[in-house]
Amino acid sequence: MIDLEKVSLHFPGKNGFRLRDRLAGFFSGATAQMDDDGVRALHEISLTIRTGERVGVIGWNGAGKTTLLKTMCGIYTPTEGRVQVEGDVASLFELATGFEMEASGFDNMLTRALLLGMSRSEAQAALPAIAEFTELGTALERPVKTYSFGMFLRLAFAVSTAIQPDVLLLDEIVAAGDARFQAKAQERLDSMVENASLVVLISHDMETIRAMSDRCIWIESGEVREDGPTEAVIRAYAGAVA
Amino acid sequence: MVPVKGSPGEILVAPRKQENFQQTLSIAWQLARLDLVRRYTSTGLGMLWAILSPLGMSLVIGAVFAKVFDQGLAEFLPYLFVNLTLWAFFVACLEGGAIAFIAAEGYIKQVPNVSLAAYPLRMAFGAFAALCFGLFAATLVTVVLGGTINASWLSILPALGAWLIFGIALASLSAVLNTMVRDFTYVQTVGVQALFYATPIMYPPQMLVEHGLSWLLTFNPVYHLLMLVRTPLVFGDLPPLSHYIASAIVLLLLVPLAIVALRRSRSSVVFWL
Repeated sequence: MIDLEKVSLHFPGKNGFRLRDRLAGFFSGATAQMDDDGVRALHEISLTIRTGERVGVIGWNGAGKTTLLKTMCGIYTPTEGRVQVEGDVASLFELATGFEMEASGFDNMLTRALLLGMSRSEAQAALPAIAEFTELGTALERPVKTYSFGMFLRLAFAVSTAIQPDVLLLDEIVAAGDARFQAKAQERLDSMVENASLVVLISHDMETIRAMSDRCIWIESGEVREDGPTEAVIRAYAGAVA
Repeated sequence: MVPVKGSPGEILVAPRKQENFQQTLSIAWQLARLDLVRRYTSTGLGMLWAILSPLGMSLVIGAVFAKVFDQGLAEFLPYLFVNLTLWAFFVACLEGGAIAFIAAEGYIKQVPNVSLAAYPLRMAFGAFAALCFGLFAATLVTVVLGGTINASWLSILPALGAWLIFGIALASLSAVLNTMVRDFTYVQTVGVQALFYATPIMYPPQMLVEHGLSWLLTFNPVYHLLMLVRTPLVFGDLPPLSHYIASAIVLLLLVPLAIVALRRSRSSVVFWL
């Protein structure tokens, strides 16, 4: 279950970078500082997503969709309000970032597996299967600085989908690589979604939203504009775009 | 952790709450290991630089100061070598700490529930590996130059533990301060440089005492920790109890400070990056 109660999130703006404000925030124990020129990324969002639900999140670029998901999984702490999540959370965001460029593909897979919560022995045991899934072969022994964008995605996707969470948060997952790999990646993603007790996914592709969710939330300027059955919300959204 | 069934040929593992200490340690060690491999495989002489760099410095400084202090180079060299190796660790923790969060931005913004402590720990672990290697070399240098290595040498082991904790606390504080206030890097650089001259590294501590500056020793945390290692390693004696007490006080102040700093900045660091 995910429960958000009047969640607001303000990114500190230029003022937030002033020494005085940062020190003040640090010593008073406040989280992100509220200030005039900051960005109001989320504004008083209240919603409850129950176990078993498949929720799509739609909205224009910069509406706050990714911020919403990052707040749900705890990467961002809300400036105001309360976030409560029951169950283990895993998220797939910005997959192609967070690599040690000089290290090999294998070492990066191991690092990521540990970051995702596997123990060293679990990671070591899972590594061969993850490596096989990437289909990168001997390239995994090379430093990842030699990788193409598609190769980064394959590597990150293979590791990130090696864990099965209760709560799965997906941000515009574009399956990487050629058609065959895409099909394989989609199959794996489907199995993850099936095994998760709760899924929230962001997409700009309404067909994906239709196929994967039964409830849809339309985010606009950091607020919930519509929340309801997928088809109805998509229709309203399409009407607003036209 | 129970393996979960997925599509054929896959190992799906259930995630667990990552913020436990053991997990933090294994993340930190993995990153530190990659740092070490990168640092030492990109150079021709590799890990040897951990010895060659302080040795070269010791020879240059030693050649001059042995004359100034009217000491034999053979006596003075191990002294310098140990000091410079420990100092290098001190600087590496502060400088590594300064970029610890910045270098981990990709992880911090992408993976939830990883303790921030993992990133300064990574820097301290990397520096500590070089320190251990350097002190091993220092022991060899002392033996070769006819110094005394005896049972007191064993007291270095707990002292190394104190240095590691010292380094972790420094790296954590440096990470928080430098990420919060980018200007701090410059203040830190000047401070470290000043401390280098105020610490008996290139000269014997008596020099400060003779000039009525013994308070510089009393209030210098690095000096007390330095004595814990160099007294047994270079002179074959157990360090006076006062240095143990002073070092304990330093750690008792620094460690809670570092923990509070990490806790306080936990939710802010992602916005500072």
